Amino acid sequence: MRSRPRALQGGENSSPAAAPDFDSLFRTCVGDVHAYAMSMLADRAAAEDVTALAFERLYRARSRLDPRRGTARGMLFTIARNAALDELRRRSRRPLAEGPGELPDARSDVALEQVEHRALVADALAGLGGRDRELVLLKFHGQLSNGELARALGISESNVGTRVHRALTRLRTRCLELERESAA
Amino acid sequence: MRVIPFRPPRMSPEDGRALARIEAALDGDGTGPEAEYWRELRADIRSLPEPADPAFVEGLKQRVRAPEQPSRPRRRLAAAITRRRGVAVAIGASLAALLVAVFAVGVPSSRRAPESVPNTAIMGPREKGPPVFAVPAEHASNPGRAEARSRADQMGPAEPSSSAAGATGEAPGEAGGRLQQLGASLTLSAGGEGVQQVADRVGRTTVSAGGFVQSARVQTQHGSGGEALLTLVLPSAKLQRTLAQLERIAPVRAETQSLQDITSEYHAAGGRLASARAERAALLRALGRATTQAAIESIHARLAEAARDISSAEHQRAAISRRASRAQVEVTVLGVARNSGGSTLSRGVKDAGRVLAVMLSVILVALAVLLPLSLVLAALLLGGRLWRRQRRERVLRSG
Repeated sequence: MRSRPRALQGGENSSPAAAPDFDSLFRTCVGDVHAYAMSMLADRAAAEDVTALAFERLYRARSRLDPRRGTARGMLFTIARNAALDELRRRSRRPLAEGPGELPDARSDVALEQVEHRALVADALAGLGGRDRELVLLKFHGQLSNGELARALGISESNVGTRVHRALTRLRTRCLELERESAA
Repeated sequence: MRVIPFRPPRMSPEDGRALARIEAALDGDGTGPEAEYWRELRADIRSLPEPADPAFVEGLKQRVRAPEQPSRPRRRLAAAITRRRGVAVAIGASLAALLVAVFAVGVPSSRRAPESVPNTAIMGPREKGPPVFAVPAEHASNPGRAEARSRADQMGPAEPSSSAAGATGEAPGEAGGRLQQLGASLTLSAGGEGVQQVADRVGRTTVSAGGFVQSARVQTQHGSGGEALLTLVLPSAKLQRTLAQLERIAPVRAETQSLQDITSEYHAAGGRLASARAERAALLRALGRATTQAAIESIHARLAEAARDISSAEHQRAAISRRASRAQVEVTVLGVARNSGGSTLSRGVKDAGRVLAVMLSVILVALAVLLPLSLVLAALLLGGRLWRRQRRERVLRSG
């Protein structure tokens, strides 16, 4: 598991003084934001655009960051989410989870099993509804807390908890179904 | 029809516990197969997309450091929005400064306004007679006033001091063999003194000049300036000198002088008198020649009538002569507002209070205007945000 940098986990206690530590934020988040955008848009160029836009906007707004309105990481993913949705709407393209990229060398049984499992997970993710998929991607790529998710989605925290539980349960159910199908 | 639940469905306690277990597993706290499953699932999903290109990451890092060089229209738009926000703040600050300036200029002018109001009182006494000329308050104590007075001197008796009148041998109110009725009205500001005190001094000055106060009405009010209206009768020969003395009593806010030629009236009265006297002389002659009792009685009756005519004509001529020898002066004494007698500090404090009251009322008016506008604007902004959110998330519904 990849843990979030402590400076970005400050939540309510983090201050605008954390904003100058932009390099740290960039290093720890750029991969996650790009991965989230790739999963949402299934397009490398568009994902890079969204990633760049998110970081540039956050950088310009770094002096105005208010810790009471969320952590820098949460804001970054909020910007990325909005940009990704705008991009999707603009292109009228459905968000599709990109399939496994360059597969690892499948010379061993373990590697083959890993590739199959990832493909199964990708199928299960693609089978989710748009809202559930978006929530799972924000939860796993952004590693956002329910409070940060609530701010990003503009809904209450309890509602986020309900939706996260529902989405993860559906994802698990779907994975199990696909495993059973492949085993059969 | 799509039903949107008003409240999100509550999570059951069981689901809540399940979510807590998932959260604990993802945070690395949970143990067991289920926790491992969730961690592996997250790792799988995170590994699905291709990793970011290192060249892109490095380029982005450099680009973020130099955001002032926009390379895409979207970034230029974002920069323009940021710039416009500054412009909007600048415009707002300018408007606020302008508003403050308007009020700063407007409040003192509203304080000066009462100074100009009493000018209308100038015309009050003037309505009793035809205005000949008026000296505005602002000219009352400058060379313009002297010029106006010299014009009056050309029309009426020139500085009719007793010596001058005696030297020319003209009766007061006469100029070049013509009879003139003089009049004036004066508006004085009580200033630091009370209205009553100023009115008393006006009366004493009148008496010392050989005149008298024909009527007086003094009105004083606690907290306000009060007002006194005096009608003075002065010897025409001493009019100008007495006016000058009156002007020294209190600051002059307005002065009006009038002149009316009554020569024709005087001559008409004299003509009627001469005619009545001639008639009486003729009747007396006729009486000497009368022989019958009836003729004598008739002439006596006509003589009595002629005597009444003579008496009436003499009265009229004397009255006209008195009008020429006496000038009527209307003096209005205006009290200055309540705090005129206070110290400078107390006046300043009261002025500051008035300014604050004006500012408060302005703020209330501004709030009355701005509050509904703000509510409408807030509703529009909220609606806009909701609309944008709905529009964005519409794409997720289709997925």
